[in-house]
Amino acid sequence: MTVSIRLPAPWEPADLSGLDEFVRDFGPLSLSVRHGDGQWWIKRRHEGGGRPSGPRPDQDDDFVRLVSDEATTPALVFEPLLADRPIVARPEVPLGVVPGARVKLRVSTPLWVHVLTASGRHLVDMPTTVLKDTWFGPNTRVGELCYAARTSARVHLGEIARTPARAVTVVEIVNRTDEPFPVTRVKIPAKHLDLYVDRRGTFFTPSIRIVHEGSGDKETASIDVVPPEADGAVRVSEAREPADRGLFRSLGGLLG
Amino acid sequence: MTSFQPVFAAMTVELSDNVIRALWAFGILVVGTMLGRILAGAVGRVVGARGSRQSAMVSRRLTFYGFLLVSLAASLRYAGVDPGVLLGTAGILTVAIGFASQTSASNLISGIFLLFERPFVVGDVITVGTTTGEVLAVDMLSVKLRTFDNLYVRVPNETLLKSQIANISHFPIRRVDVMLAVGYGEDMSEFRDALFAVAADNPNVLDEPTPMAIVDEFRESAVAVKFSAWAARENYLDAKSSLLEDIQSRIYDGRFRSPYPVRVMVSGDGPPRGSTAESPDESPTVSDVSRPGERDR
Repeated sequence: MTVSIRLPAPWEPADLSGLDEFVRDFGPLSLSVRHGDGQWWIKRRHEGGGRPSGPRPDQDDDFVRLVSDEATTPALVFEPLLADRPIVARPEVPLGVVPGARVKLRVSTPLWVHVLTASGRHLVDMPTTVLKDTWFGPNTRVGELCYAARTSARVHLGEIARTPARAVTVVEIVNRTDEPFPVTRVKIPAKHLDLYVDRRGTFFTPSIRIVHEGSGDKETASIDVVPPEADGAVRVSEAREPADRGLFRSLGGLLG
Repeated sequence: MTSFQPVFAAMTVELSDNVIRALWAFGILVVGTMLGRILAGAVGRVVGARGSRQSAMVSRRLTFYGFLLVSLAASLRYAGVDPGVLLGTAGILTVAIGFASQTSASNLISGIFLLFERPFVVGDVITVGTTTGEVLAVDMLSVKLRTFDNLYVRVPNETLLKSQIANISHFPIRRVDVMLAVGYGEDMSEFRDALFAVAADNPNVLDEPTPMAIVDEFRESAVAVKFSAWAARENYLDAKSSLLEDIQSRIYDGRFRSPYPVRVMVSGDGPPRGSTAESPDESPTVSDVSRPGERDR
């Protein structure tokens, strides 16, 4: 963990002293924690009742019990992370990029909560918003499993509601052709991006730049720096998987 | 009597030497086999850490049988048996053995082709004929499967090479197809929207590829609709089961009724009483419709 600054609410560390049950909300996620005798009981509930893929659980709430070999200290640390898979964001309204234009779209994606003990031991890692699974690829044989999300794809940062449980990614699309370039979905490589927070407590990721040069999936993509609108941004967590040279080649398939 | 003693003594010494040689040869074979097992296990672990279960299994088998052959040759040589003689003898028996082992040879060669073609690997789930199971091993003569009700099935390699094999776990996603029926006169677009809403709320159904609802055919009493949605390979069964559950509870128990088979029965005595039909050829009224299970008039 690389936190060296004071994180905004609700991400600050928690002191559970004297509490029978500790409850904290991270956007739509409500986290409830009890501890004692070297055990942690963690319950999560998502507003709207969403649940991840897999067999239907017997209970509505997701409940986990963790047993440790050390006495539980009454303190928890919450680390914000990006998703553990790419997120495919589909604009709520289909949009196109004018020929020769260079546009910047703001896409916000939900954060994951990484809960650790005061001694740094991992407890749970869960999304603040439950996203549906989706497939991103040229066909049903080649591609990868991602999360699906809807985005308003705003042009101005001020149009995006700043919430403490979401991160903003600036996607720069350059259309170097003579025809409008339709954008029906954008894949955010979340697990390869670092996470930053600016002075106002808004989370940002490094920008993504996509250049469209012609038909036949002629796109080049790259991960850029943190956008200048993230004033005084400081890195709070590293990418789950580091980006390598192969990633830049595969990033070429970020638009659908 | 005395003249036989030296001969008897010489024969005893020669017999003892032969027994000792045979024992040593047997010992070489046993030690070689044990060493072969140990080496094969080590090779399998190294290859398995870097490659697939299939590669590990093949490497392990090749190493063991290679070592076994070397041990056998060394053992025979120590025992004083000329391998050339064995080869000559084998040549004589080849014709007879060849006819007897046609099937085994075919299975062996089919197994080599399967290893190179790799339509499946160890760990995949395949369907061969009416058998569906997880591939446990790809051996020289056959493939071993474990069915989902925990049966151990041996399928000869020749059968696999000649048959159509469906590898269920080859691609990461699969399509769930559900055949539904909706009564004539129902609002098809509303029915379709209801299906899409069920799919959107199901976490096991992928957002993309987008689900499809296609009118398949007109049946006797209902319109057949094929509803297709995609799921991750490992969630296929959960997706299918939960989709059917949700369709039953949210569609057929709600706005839409599951259509029943309908029969229209007209007697030979003319139009039913109360009917406005002027001839027996005109359609009867609803009150004359007979449903299965009801007694005819």
